[in-house]
Parts: sequence; structure tokens; C-alpha cells
Amino acid sequence: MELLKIENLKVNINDKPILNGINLQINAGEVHAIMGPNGSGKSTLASVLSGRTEFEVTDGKVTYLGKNLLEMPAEDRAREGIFLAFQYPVEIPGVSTANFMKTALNEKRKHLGLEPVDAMDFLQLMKEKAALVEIKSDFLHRSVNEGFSGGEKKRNEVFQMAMLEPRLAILDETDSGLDIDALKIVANGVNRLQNKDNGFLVITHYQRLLDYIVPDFVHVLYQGRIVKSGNKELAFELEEKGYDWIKKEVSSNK
Amino acid sequence: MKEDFFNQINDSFVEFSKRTNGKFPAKLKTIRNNAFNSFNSLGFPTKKNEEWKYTDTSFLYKQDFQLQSQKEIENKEITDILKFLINGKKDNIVVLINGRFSKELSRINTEAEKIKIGSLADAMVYKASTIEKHFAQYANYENDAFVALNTMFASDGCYIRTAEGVIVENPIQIVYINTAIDYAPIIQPRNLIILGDCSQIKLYETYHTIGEQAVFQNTVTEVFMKRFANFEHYKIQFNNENSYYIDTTQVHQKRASNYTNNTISLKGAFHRNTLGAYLDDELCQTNLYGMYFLGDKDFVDNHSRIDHAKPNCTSSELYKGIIDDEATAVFNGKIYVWKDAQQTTAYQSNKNILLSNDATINSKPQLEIFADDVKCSHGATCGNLDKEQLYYLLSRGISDSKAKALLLNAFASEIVEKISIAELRDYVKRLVAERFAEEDIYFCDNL
Repeated sequence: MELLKIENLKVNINDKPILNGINLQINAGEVHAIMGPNGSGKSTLASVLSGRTEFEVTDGKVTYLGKNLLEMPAEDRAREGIFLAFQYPVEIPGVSTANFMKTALNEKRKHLGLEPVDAMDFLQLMKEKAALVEIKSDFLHRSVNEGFSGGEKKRNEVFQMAMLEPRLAILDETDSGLDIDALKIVANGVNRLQNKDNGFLVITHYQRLLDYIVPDFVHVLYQGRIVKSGNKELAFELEEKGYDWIKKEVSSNK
Repeated sequence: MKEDFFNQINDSFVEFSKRTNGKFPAKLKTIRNNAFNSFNSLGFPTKKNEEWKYTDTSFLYKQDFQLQSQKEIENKEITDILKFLINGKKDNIVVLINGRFSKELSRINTEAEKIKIGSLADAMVYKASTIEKHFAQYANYENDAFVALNTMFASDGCYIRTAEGVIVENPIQIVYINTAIDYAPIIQPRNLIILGDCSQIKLYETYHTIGEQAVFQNTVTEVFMKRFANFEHYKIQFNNENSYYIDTTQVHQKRASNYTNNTISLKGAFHRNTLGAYLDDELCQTNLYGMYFLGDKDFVDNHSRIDHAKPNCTSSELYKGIIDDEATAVFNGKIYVWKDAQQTTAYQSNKNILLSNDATINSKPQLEIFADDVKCSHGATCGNLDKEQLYYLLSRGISDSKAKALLLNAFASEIVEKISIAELRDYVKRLVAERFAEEDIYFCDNL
């Protein structure tokens, strides 16, 4: 089943082209990895899909569950099941994670025509999902990300993902700034959320994360285009050889 | 008209002096006459006066305010107001009707030998020596026309005195109820609070109006705190678009006393809060907090001054404001560190969020330091909501209006959470949540 279909997507920031015709299809049950050197447009792609508005889409089409994704505001995309795990999660002093998640969950339920979640059920749900990423429950009553370490912030992202149960999860360099233990916890959380109905788009600079979250497909993004696609072996090849051979291949094809 | 108003005040004072001749101790009469002279030489402040630079008091001449005393009012409407007391069961309730202490409606649940809560008018007669010692000794009528105006006519209000070591568990609530039915009144309550060594009270003030006319309430509260006394003082300003309040509080602190003021301003045409603390001995602590959340054409001016006169004292000041529509806020915080006040620690901060292009904030943090071994800081910020925070919330499916409400609520809660009386804190939270029309945000806070 098709979750997401990106066709010839072109995006500018301040009149400067960043994405130059992306084509990508993600089906339910699939894990896709996007790799690429710095500045290739990886994070821009994640932001455009999640609904940031400071980009100008100049061409192309994005279909999510049969709907025109680019016409939906960010909050509706989230309610319809798109989740972005931020590369740099922000701190929100004064808003507890529990309150944040209860509000988000109820907004989603309202959108789907469901009653607000019962307080006791909600507490139980939080407890379960927090265990998934080894978060202590007192964490949930602290302000969102305030004073959290890099690893704690990323675990909180995966916790939120678990709470909102997205159909399509986009992980934007979730591995950056993580030590190996935190990386394992985060990856383990993601793996346990994976099922035949949802899809993952894992954006990363290094192959390291893909040791733990094993992708079905690997794509290389360079100069705003997917220049190479393959299976997980491609990631190993990139790790071994670096990005230079891709760059050379692209320039010799021009 | 400005002159008519001035003449009315002076004529009323002559009449008042005649009427009260012999009723009050002689010293009070001298003070009133001095205040009268000050008032006449000062006049009402204009924007040329540095302390009133951003605050327009011309409403005084536009509303046809009358100083005459008020008729009796029907008790039913008052009973309705009193039904909404925040913590009606346990608190000590002081009801001031048009500035006058109401024996019938006030409810005092304390033992009289430990704490006296009553009317200032009575105290002026029965506790003359105490009154002479403290009345008009802290709030300065020589350079503030509104303190002078209040002092000229000061005849009733709330009088509180605690004995040594008395800890008053139940908060005291002062309920101001003004009637503005036939004409626009000037109400001038005068409060005097004297706290004995090591005694402790919590007090909060709320304001109510019956009738459609404008009200000008010019309150002066003087506080004298003896050694190790502790006072938590709250003002909840939630008034109508026709109400004008000038509220002066002057605190005089003795050794190791601890004074906390938290002023919450949520609605009202005009609020000027003049708040001063004089730290007259070592080891005093003063905390001044405020939160204002203004809309329409509301106006709030928080004007504070802390005098660090002696060494080893700490003061901390934090005012946070959200300003929407065409509302205006003023923050003017002065910290004076006197020459002898070594080892002073003083922090001051004012943070604002403007929600509309027509909203205004005038913020003026001031530090004047004459000692050389101190730790002081001050600052002011003003801006919009953080776009990254907003986007983070949207990206989780939260609507724009709810996301804004969450962030603003979080901004305000830093001050609201400092309210230590649970019922009062919940009441304020509810008032804030109602402003967002997003009440569930408040309720899910209690997880």
C-alpha cells in the first residue's frame, strides 16, 4: 500500500534551489534511508514534508494516503499521521511533556472524530511508551526538553512518536549527537514501533544508525536530487568509500 | 475640568476637617494638614514628571468623579459578590464597602490576642498611640500627590496587627466592594499592617464594583515588618473597563524580615501599582513579582522601588506581561543600593510578549548603586512568541490557537506558580485559561 509519493519535487529557499526534482515512493511496511553529504537537501526534504512554510515549492507533487500533502497545514499533516523527529528539538519551558502529549493526542483524536482520551488511560499509555525508550516517568512532568541532554531530547522525540503512532515517521538525523548507548535505545524504540502498516524515512549522514535500524531501501541525496538508490549494501559502500565517488559519478554523467 | 476637580477636593477637605474635628488624635490632624499642603503644592502629576512619564492621569478630569460619601447599598448584591470568595470557608474575610470596614460582612476567624484584624477607623480611636507611631510614616505624601490625597481623607480601611511569633495559617482576604450606581465615586481605603517579630501572614486583595458608573479607587497600604516577620501579599486585579485604580503599597522592613508581593493584573481600564520596600536592617529579603495579561485598551503601570539601605539583603524582582489589542503596560523598577548596603544581592527582570501591533510596553529597569561590593543585575525583554516553539507544537498536531495558548500560559505560569495559596493559584489559573477560550489547557495541567 502506498503511503507517500513524491514526484519531481522542486523547492527553493530565498530563490535558491535546494531540491531539484525528488522522486520517491514509500509503501506501508517499508523503511527508507536517505543519506547524503552536508548541504545536499536532506533536512529541507524532512521540513517540507512536515509542513514548514518558509520554503517555496516551485514544481512537483507530494501525495500522502491519496491526498495532496502540500496543501495541508502542518497540524493537519500531524493529525493524519505524519511525524517528524526533529534534528534539534526545541525546549519549551513551562509546558510539561505530559500536558503537551495529552493536548496533541486529543487534537488528533478530535480530528479523527474520537472522544478525548480518558485521564487514567492516558497515564497508562504514557507509562507504556516511556518504557519503550527507557524514560523515567518524572521526566514527563518536567518542561518539554528543558535542560535535557542531547540523548534525552532524542529519546523524547521517539517517545512522542510512540504516543502519536504515526503512519509515516520521518527521522531527521536522529543519530546526531548520540553516544552508542543512546543510539541503541532510540533505534530499539523505533524498531519496536515498526509494523506492516507504517513507513519510516530515516535521514542520516552516517551509516552507523543503519546498523540498528535496518532499511529496506537506501537513497543518496546529492545537490537536491536522489542520485543513487539501492538496498542496505549501498549504505555499507558509502561508509567504506565516503561520498566522493558519488560526487564523481554525478559530475561525469553531466 | 481640572480646576473644578481640584476645587472640589479642597472644598471637601475643609468640610471633612470640620466634620472630623476632635474625632482623631491631634497628630493625625497635623499629618492631614501637611498632606493637604503637599497635595496643593504638588498638583496631579503630568507626563513631565519622571515617575509618571508613561502614565496619563487625565481620566481624573474626564469622568466627573465625586468625593461625597456613598449611600447605603442593598446587601443582596454584596452577598452575591461574597458568594464568589475564593476560599470562603477558611479565610479571614475583610470586607471594605466603599473603603469602609463592614463589621457585618467581614468574618474574622482568629484569636484577638494573637492577631487583630479590624477597621482602621476603630484603631485610630482605640489604638491611638500605635497609629500615631506608624500612620503616614512609610508612604511618603510629600512627593506623591495620590498618597497625599489619600492621607488627607484617610479615615478607614483594614488594620492588621500580629503579636510576636504568631503564624496565621488561614489567609486573609481583603474584598473591596465599591458602589457606582448614581455617580462616579472616589474611594480611598487606607490600610495599615503591623507584623510583630517572627509573625507570619498571607493576604490577598480582590476588587469589585456594583453599578455602571466609573470608579476611582486610590488606595494606600502601609506595612511595617518587625524582625523575622514574613508576609506574602497578593493583589488580583480583575476589573471592568470603567475602573481606575491607583494602589500604593509601602513596606518598611526590619531585620531578617521577608516580604513577597505578587500582583496579577488581568483586566481594568487603569491600574497604577506604586510599590516600595525599604530594607532598614540586615538580612531582609524582598520579592516583587507581577504578571499582567492585558487586552482591549487596558492599562497597567507597575512602578516599584526597592531601597537597600542596609548590608546583606536580597531582593528579587520579576514582572512578566502579555499585551494584546490596544493595551499598554508600563514597567518601572528602581533599585537603590545605598552607600552602606554592602553585600547586597538584587535581581530585576521584566519580560514582555506583544501580541498585536497596537500593543505597547514601556519598560524602564533602573539600578542605582552607591555601594561597591554588590551583586546586581537588571534587564528587560520584549518580543513575540518563539516561532520554533510554535512550529514544534504545530508539528505534533496542535492547532495554532491552542499552541499559542500553551506557550502564553507557560510564560505566565512562572509567576502564577509562585502563588503559594492553592485555591488562589487555581482561581488565577482559571482566569488566565478563560482568556484563551481553551480551558482544557488549564485542566490537563493537573495530571
